Amino acid sequence: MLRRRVSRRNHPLIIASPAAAVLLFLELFSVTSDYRFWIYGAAFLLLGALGGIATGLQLRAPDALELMRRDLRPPIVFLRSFQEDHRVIHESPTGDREGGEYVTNTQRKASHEDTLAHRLRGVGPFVAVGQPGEPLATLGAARVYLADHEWKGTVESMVHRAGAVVLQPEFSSGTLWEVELVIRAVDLRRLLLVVPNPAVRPLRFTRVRQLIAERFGVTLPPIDTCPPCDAFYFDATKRPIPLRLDGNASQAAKPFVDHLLALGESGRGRT
Amino acid sequence: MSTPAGFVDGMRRRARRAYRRSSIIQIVLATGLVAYGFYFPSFCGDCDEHPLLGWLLAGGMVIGGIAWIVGVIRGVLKRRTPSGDPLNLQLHACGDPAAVASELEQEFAGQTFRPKRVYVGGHWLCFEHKTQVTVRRIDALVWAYVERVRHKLNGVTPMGTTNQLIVWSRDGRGAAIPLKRKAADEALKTLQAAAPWIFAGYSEALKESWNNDRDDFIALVDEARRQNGRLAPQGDPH
Repeated sequence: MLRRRVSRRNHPLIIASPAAAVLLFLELFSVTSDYRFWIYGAAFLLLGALGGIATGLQLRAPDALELMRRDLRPPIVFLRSFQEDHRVIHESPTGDREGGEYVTNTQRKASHEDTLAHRLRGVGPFVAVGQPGEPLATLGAARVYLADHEWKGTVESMVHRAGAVVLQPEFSSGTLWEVELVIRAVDLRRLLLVVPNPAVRPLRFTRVRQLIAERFGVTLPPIDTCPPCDAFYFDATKRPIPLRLDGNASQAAKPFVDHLLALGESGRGRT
Repeated sequence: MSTPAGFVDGMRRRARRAYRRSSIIQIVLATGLVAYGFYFPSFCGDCDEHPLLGWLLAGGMVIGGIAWIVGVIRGVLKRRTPSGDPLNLQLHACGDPAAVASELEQEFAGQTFRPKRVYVGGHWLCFEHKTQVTVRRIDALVWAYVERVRHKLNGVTPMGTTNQLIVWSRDGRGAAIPLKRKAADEALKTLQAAAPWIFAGYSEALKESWNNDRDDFIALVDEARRQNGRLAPQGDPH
């Protein structure tokens, strides 16, 4: 299977659908003078416009290889499971629920990629491998779309050139291979380890902590003493330093950026 | 299918009665909608200015009303068959319906079934209210808590709070059992006594673990059960 963006063919449809919706509403405006209709219509148009802006940003998302050609600083490589791109946080428990009263279950994106991209772009081009077959690039890291036979080689080459690596360890074979690659090729001081927040996902944090201890030989704080955090970076003594990535986007990940800037060229390009 | 008379029969009778009442109400409403659509053009104020829109609305109401009536009648016919009976559907989800019915009879022997009351035995949980029929095997439950539902008019004006006991099974099926606050709290305690290994109470960590790490969540419940232990209280019971 070819890991490539298939968006080009879908572009006319993506643009035509909101345009058709706007035209339909303008046509409906002509049959009523009721002010409520104008209010609802304006709200609908506003939502459509916001959706259009998001689509526009996705259409304009740079290709990772092109970005690395233009920006010669060492890249910041984001390694994660593709499922993380689409994982959402539901307000309520999910499942087939029978009876009782219906409770709205709003959802929001779980990934911290936007926050990381916001901060890390200042240090180097923030790049990741894109999920094969996605019609539009996810916003955050610039994506490179690769065929099955070439992704490992390309990722290896990017990681060797990287100024830093953001790793979100999972248990799929692809992500475990990436974990091994990071162990071989990356100085621990240049690694940002994105983990499930122990205060929110204690069970998964425990498994990830065990994985990190086995593969990296580094012990993250145990669940009962670990403060709420979304990531760890490491100092020269391999001591994990917890980091929050939610909340204020402009401040999140700043300690890691400062830490990288202080490192300079030290420890880069390990094989 | 022959089921022993008594508790299960009482539950079945109540459910059928509730469905019958609901079907009659729906047919009356749907007939009203058809009639309203049929006469709509004659009293529509704007229809002279926008005849097309008027006819579309009237046609939509008539067609929608007829579709509603057809849907209700099909539902009634389906529920009359053994495989479509609402109680049988619940029993079937727990195993062989006849065997489950027999177990329920044994478990709640000597008790008369009453609606709006949750029955928690050693192995089974039963509830019926209006058209809701809930039967769960307690062995299969992994998480229970009381949910407070805050009602708001147009999403703004507070309109009071209701309570429901929520139980989740290992297969991802949930049941919301509407009860009074005190009854819901008591039911949760009874359930916890019957199955001390389940998670009782609600917290953000439990919710996220259930939504994202369900296998680990269930494994923890199984482990607690193997050790015949009680899981540590998790957050607020609500």
